[in-house]
Amino acid sequence: MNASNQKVYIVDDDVAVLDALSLLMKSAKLEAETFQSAQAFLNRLEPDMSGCLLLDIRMPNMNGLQLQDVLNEKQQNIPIIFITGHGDVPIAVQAMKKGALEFIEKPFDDETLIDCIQRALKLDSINRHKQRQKQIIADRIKMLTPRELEVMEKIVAGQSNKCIAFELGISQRTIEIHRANVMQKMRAQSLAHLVRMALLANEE
Amino acid sequence: MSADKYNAEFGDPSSFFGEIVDELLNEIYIFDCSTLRFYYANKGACKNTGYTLEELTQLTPIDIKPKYDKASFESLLAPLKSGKKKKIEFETTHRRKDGSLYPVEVHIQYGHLRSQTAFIAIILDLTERKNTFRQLKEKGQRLSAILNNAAEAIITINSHGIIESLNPAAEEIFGYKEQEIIGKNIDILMPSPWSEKHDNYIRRYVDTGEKRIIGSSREIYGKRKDATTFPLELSVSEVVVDNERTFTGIIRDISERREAARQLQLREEEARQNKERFDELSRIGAMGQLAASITHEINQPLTAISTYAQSCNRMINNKQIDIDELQPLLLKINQQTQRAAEVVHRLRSLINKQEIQPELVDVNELIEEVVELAASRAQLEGVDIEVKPIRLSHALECDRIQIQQVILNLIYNAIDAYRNCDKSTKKIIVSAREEGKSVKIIVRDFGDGIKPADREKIFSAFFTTKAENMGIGLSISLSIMEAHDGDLSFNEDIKDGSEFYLRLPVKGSSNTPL
Repeated sequence: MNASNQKVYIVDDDVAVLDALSLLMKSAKLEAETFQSAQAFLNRLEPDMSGCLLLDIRMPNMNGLQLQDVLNEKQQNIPIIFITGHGDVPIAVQAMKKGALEFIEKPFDDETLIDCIQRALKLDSINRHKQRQKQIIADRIKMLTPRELEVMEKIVAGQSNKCIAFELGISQRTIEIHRANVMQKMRAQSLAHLVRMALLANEE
Repeated sequence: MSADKYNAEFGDPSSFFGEIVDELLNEIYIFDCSTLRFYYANKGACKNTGYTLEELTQLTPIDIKPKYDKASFESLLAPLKSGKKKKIEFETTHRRKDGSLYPVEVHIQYGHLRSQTAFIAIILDLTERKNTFRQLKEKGQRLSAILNNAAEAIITINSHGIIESLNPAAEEIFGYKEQEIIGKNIDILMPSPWSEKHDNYIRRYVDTGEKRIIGSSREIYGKRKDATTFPLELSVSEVVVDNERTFTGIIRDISERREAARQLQLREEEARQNKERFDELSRIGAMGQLAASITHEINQPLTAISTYAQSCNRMINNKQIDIDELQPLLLKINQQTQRAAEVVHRLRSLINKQEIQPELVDVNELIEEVVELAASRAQLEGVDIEVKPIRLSHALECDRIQIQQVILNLIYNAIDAYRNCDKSTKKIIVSAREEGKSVKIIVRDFGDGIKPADREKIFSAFFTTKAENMGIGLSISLSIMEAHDGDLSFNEDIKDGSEFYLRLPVKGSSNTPL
């Protein structure tokens, strides 16, 4: 897990709060970038942003919840920590349902906030790692022929060579060749490894 | 035979008396003692029964009296024959030739006419009388039904105040049974002081004839058997029969009416309280909204303060920071404290909206402070605020916080005016001007301007063109200005954006230069 390029993106309309928060990030040796509005953050948005988002709910024009919606639409799954001055439950519930990691009331305790940010960053790197793995597996799967893909699906479903041969109406010997190709192309060290990769590839 | 025989026996019916008898409308019959056959029937009999005289002479009374047979009719006649009775009278029914029936009263006497003996029957047709009676009876029944079913209590008393009759409603209203109360003095149905005085009232009326209550109605109190009292409406009428005075009282229990009136009053009271409560709530609602916005405004600097402080603490612990690096941070913390305090001031001024705390203020300073307050929002929206200072010859006396609130509101509105417009330069000019005995503070923007349709409404509460706002800013501002004997308005001639101004009177004539 590579945390070095991770950043804490902070969006709050209040200049003083932004300033204080970036100081706090500095004190926690976290790299931070601040934005005075949701739009400013969207302008800076890159597909591969790594880190977490510290997001104020109450802002003019586009509020925090609206920004969350936009990010969800763009399938940007950067972990979001909401910070708000008026912790009202319905908004919190709404935000959490849409996948927010945490909801922290202003003014906040530095330890709580930083712990939360650490968790968010860890989650982000796990997500990212997973994403990379998925990408690698997807690339490998692309190399399989349609027949090999068919055979792999049956292997990971737990079927024996004999059974697969019968179902596909080809010889067991041919299945063994397909199977060896699948293992090689997928770079699977064992059947268990192949199954794990298949599961990961099918994950949402 | 008959006519001849009759003529032979009784003489010519065309004789004077014979004619009279014949012409009588009552039915008159003469019939034989033993055979009971009619000898004679007058014209009235023929007309009423529908038989001709010839037909009748073939008949007996039993033929026209369906309720009797020969035996029962003869036993009826027996006392006459034996001489025990001179005359019998009874009521029965006659049957006409066409079979129809009619009620009759029959008078029969035994007569010695010349050498003959015969029964003479005089018949009175009771049809009409019966009808009249029935009508009277029905009328009586109706009247008593009315009395018995009347919702009003109806009580009659004599001239000594003694109860002679009462209807069921009276029983119900007063809780007495008829037999308990007839013969008692009416005063038991009244609470003090009327109960003691009632006899005198009647006596005075009987003596003087002066009508106090008779013929009119009034609301007084009644007393039930269980001694509870209730409001009633009483009207009294007098009937004199055979020199005996009877007073009839019609009494309506109006406790329900009173109760209804009381309920109505209660409901009105409740409605009034609800309205007050509603007004209160909407005020609280508005205050709630304000409180939420103020919470936010206080929370922001508090958040900044606590975050600065915690960061400093961490950096000191980590030995990340030098003393001289701390100083600007402490200044920032102090700035934010002042910012929070400012909001608290504003909140206080909102809560004590009615109480103006006037002080002499420098207009330039006043404006400068407000612009500082608005600066962060203006910066965020990319709006420049320009202030044009003025020199006044008079000191301005006003509630600083409240007037600042009004100006701040105008500046915020001016910032918002740029929200949906794509001007490259967004500028607000805040200026002041002396006009006679007043000072005008003007906030000018070059944004959207006011739509003509909105011009009349912008000062009313809860009118807003902004989705997230309550629309109370200008209305609160207006009431603040009114409390200052000033006013708040906008320049209708401005085409490019809008120009709002508030006007404050210059109090006194102190020439304090500022």
